[in-house]
Amino acid sequence: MSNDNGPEFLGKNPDGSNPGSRTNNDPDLQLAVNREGQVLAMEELAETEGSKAPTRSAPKMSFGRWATQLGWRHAVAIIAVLFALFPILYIINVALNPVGSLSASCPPSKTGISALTCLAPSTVDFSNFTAIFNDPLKPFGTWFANTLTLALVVSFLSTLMSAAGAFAFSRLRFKGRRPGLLALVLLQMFPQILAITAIFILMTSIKEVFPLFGLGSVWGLLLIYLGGSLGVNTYLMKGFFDTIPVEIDESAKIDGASHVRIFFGLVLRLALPVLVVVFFVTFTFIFNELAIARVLLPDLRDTTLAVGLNTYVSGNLQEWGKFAAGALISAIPMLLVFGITQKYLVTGLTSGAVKG
Amino acid sequence: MSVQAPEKAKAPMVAQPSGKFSAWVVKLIILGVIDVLGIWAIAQSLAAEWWLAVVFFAVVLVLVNVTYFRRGGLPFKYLLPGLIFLVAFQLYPAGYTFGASFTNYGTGHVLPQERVVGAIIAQSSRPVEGSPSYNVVPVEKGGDVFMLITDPDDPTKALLGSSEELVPAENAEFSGGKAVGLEGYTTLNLGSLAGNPDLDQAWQELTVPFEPEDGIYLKPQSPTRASEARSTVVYDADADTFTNSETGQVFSPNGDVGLYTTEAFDNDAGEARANQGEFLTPGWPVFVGVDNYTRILTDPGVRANFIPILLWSFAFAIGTVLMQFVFGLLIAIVMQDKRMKGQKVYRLILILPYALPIFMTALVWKGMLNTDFGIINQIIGSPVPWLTDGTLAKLSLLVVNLWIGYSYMLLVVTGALTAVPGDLKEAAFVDGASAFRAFRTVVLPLLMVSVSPLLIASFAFNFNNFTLVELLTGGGPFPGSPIEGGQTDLLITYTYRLAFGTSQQLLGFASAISMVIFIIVAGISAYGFRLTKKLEEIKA
Repeated sequence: MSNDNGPEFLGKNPDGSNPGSRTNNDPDLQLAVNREGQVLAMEELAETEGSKAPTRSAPKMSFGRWATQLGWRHAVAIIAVLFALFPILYIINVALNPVGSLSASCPPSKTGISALTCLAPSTVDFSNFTAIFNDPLKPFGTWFANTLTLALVVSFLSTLMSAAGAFAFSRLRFKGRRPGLLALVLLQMFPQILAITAIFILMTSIKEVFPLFGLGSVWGLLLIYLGGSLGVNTYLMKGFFDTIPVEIDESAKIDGASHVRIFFGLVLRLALPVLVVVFFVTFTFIFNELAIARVLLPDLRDTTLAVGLNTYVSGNLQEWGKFAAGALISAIPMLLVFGITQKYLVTGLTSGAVKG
Repeated sequence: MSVQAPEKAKAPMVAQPSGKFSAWVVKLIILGVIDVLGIWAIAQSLAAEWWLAVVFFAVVLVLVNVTYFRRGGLPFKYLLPGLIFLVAFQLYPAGYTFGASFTNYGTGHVLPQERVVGAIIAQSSRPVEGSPSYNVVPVEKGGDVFMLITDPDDPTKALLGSSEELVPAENAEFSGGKAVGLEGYTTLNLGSLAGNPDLDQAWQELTVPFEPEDGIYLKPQSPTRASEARSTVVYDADADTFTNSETGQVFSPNGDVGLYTTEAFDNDAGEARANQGEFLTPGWPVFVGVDNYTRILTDPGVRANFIPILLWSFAFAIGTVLMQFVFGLLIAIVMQDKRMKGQKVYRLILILPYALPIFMTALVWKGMLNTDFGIINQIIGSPVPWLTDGTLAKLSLLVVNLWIGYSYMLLVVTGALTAVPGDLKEAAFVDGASAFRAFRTVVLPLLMVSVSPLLIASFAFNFNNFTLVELLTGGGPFPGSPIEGGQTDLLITYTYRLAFGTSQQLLGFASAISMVIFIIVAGISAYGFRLTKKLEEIKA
């Protein structure tokens, strides 16, 4: 164990002594990566798919052989696909039904297997989609804009700021680095939701003095999210930066590159995959966040999607059609960000920027 | 690593001198803007006498200028921006929560002691029978509700009343001999009050000092009328005591519980029924030591709620991680055969649940599991109470969370499986091991090395999975009152309800539970990561 490793249980960082000497087989990389392994795993998926050597090309298989070797795989996959698709098909049907109640989207007369036909839209009517944009008490457009602004701005700023912090922790030596890292480890284990009372009181005080950033303001919530995401992200990225060989920045330094150039031109570029991962994870988290948003933005006229859409289907008046329409529109940004980041990562990897 | 990158980085450096100058100008402008904003913020906080903010902004201002204007101190140039936000919005709330967990902060103990006197008078005032009624109208500004009163002596003038004072209102609008509005304020009526419960409650509770020296206050009867009310307790400022004008009871400040109490008050019983009539509300927050923590374990009422919720939180988190992992692993293995056709389509669909917002998927499931109208019961053909029966609701939560989270595990496991060297698997086959044995003894241990930190992280996340439980069951069903906890409550949803969910907010107690959650999750993560390290050593 080296001296700059924080507490023993970190485990993620078993070889902190000389970050430069690490290779990609180092468990440290796997762990740093694995913390958010979902997207990195995707890269590997894409890579293996793209570059797979043609395996023993099976010419013609007998049905029996096909069934034992591949057929059962298809069977399991199809069951899994049905499980995955079921709720998605259902919500599309509910959204396209103008009556907007659960019983209207699937008449009670249909029971048993025939109820499965409810998964195919019986009507195609977009009145739910237009209705949610024309309700001044529940303005879906405002919710959508608020949520998207929060998720995009916070993900961007948080990624940048935590990359800077991670750079300092990973590349620079300074007094207080070790206690700083330890504090970071502890802080990132304290989710903001646990401090929600304190946040509520803090925002009430801020409202008195700075109304623009206080309780009930999207910008105030933005600051809270930003503060809450920095600990985890810095910690994550520090682990990844450690896996980028120091020789690279050292040679750049010898060439006369300034620290600004090394950070923005080199480290950020080499760490692009993890930056994208962090961006995606932060985006998803904020897009879905309910607890803090509900306390800080209680007014339905100016709140987020997670808080607002829930009100369509809780309480006595349940408007499933409007909810379904709103939810389907809400899914678009997340699907887009998911799709874009996935591709970006794959190109980043295949160009050999990280795996040299 | 290729040598490409450093070379590319070198190229633009030729233009450095002029670039350096413009960069310097940009830096100067940015810091100038920050300084102006910082000074403005300090001035605002000073004016509001919010000393903590004054200190915070002053320290930030000094640090920013010192850090970015001096040479050297490079690490702090990178650390400072994040540090400022981290301290303000993460460290401070965490520290505050820790501090609050040792107080009785909450409903009835919110105001500082010096403001409690006025609040007690307002709460203990009763209508004066046969008093005249006054023409009033509720007006709102910045979320606060005021009483606009038509001056009973001169109907062309108006008075503006808050719970603290009554002042003449300039620029009031009159209609029909009554004040109906005030410049800068929004006039409220029955409809707008009904549409906003917060404002309505503030209006109902508004007690305006009318002739406070005689103990006379104004209380609203309706959105247009108010009547006089007289306080049942009289405050003696010199002795700092209240005297009940009817019974003669004397209430003096009791620092142990943060209330004005009589001699007969039993501190150990607190605000329980035993002490009814022996104290005045509201009180102020006081330090109660570890009472909140001991209460979790010793108060029979609390313990009866807490222990089942704690156990279910563990069961939910562990069950979720196991189910998601096993299902993800199964599909990953199934999809591993590269001869399988249509893999791309399968993958695309199987990953979908992960790329959809949780508020969408959790609520769709809520609709599908609806007892009377849900499609699942229609397929089954009988009204199964999926979300309203305790055991079934727990099962539903696990299955829905499996649906939401397995694709994440699928991605993780697929990634980890590709990292397992193929020759290892083949070697195991050559040794004559069955496919299952080869998997269990060779592949799985290697897989666990890279996946277990993720499983721990997933446990920590699901232990606090507020969003899913809140959206799907809301913690219910509730055998008793919601404050006693529901059958699918996680500690986090229970805590949230204690703090915000019901009419009685137990913020100090909720903070103590928050700290307990933190200790549990941090402890398990620490233990888990140690185990992971051991796994790694075995691998090495």
